[in-house]
Amino acid sequence: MQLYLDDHLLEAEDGLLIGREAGKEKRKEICKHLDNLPVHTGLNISFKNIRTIDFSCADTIFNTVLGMIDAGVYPDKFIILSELQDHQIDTIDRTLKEASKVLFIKTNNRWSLIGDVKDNYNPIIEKILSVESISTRELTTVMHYNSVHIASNKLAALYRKGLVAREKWTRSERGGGRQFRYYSITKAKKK
Amino acid sequence: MDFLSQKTNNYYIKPEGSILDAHAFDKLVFSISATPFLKRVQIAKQIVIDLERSKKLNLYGEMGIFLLGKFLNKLPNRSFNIKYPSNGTHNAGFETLRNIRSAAKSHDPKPFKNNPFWQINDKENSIVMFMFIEDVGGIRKLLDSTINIFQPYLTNVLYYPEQKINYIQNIIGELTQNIIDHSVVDSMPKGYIALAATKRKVEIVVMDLGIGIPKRLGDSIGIKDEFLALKLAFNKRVSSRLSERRGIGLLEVKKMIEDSHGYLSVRSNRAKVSFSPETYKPLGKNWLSSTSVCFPGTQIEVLFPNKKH
Repeated sequence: MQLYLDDHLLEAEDGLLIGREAGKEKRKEICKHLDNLPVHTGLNISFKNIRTIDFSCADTIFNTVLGMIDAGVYPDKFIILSELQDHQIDTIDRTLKEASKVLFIKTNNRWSLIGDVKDNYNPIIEKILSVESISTRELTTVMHYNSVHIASNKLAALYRKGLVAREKWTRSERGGGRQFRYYSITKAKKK
Repeated sequence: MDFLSQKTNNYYIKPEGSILDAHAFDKLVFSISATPFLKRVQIAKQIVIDLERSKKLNLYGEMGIFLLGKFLNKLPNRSFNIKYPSNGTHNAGFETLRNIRSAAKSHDPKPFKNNPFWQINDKENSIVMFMFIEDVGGIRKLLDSTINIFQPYLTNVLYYPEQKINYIQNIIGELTQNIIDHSVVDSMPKGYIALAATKRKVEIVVMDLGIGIPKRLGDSIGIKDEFLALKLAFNKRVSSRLSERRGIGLLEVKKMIEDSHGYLSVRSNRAKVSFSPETYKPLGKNWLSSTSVCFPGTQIEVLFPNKKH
């Protein structure tokens, strides 16, 4: 499965994203863009033209959009942020933590997670990154989980949050029901 | 203290103490708003606000001067004058005061309306700003100028670390946004913001003349206790607009001040909440205090130290 990224350049008057009204407007634009994306495609939201963003605006945009992704409004789609300045990362990180949300950012060609990053996210995400793709059974083995359900729950949680992508896996395994293979969204290519 | 001079027939208003701060300013405003004052000044030729003894003027004091001027200008056939300290007290506050004086005198807020007025004192290495906020356009101008003027000054002259500058910028944005969201005063301006920064600290003072946080939360989510409402506004994600899941701004403002070992004081209606710089726990019995007069809007004061303590 190949994942793709579509660019979304944020624009604001004087480069200032402030207040809930501005946030609502930007959220609408992002949601519209997400609506029109094909599956297995993410939105690369660029802060190239933004000088500052405040909590209210960040909360209105990102916590809401991530809530919608979590609720399954945009299945098999995701968002990442890029070209952020340090102070913007700090503001968005704090905002996401308030709502227990998390997302990937890409700065200087490096990927990282910001927001409410749970301790157990990184090892799993790193593991997925190190291989092409991974199934629940494979993750259970490499992470030495006691049960396949642990891996299944963790991967499903990461998928719901839009931090990994997945596709149905047709290869049958003994005792297996519906199965998925999980992919890192950091491998997504620009369209 | 106020009195009518038999000699000059001028009515003198003198703030108590040598510091003209929020408290002194409140006393002045409320005393001259009272009916006895209005009766007493009937025979006066001129009203004089005598600040000669005032050694220090803080940012609230500056706002107070303007409000006093605005109020006194409404009195029919009464002129007023402001006597400033003659001993050459040149703190940043008094420097700014010169400009506020002219605005107060003519009741013309134009120079400050939606227009941040920055004043840099090279001798003292300090910077001061005063502004009336009318709408989101004003906030944009303010934030734009903080990026272009304030932030470089904090970095290059006062040596503040980047993270603190980001916090300060965010706090300014959130508090001023709050003015727009909650001010219900029809007449302009809706609120005021003043900033003062030295190498030691940044002081941010914001005031609006809306209905106040306790009253607003009381009306919308039924919190009757004014202290509890004010405390909640800075400790939990509460908002008068529940359906929109708002209320992140003030909560984050408090957390950033806490992270920086800063000081926060909020006064709204009859409640006042203060947090200490040391532990950021409530300041003993003083952390919640009642004020004798109900302030119609909200006054917020933030002190941001440059060093950790």
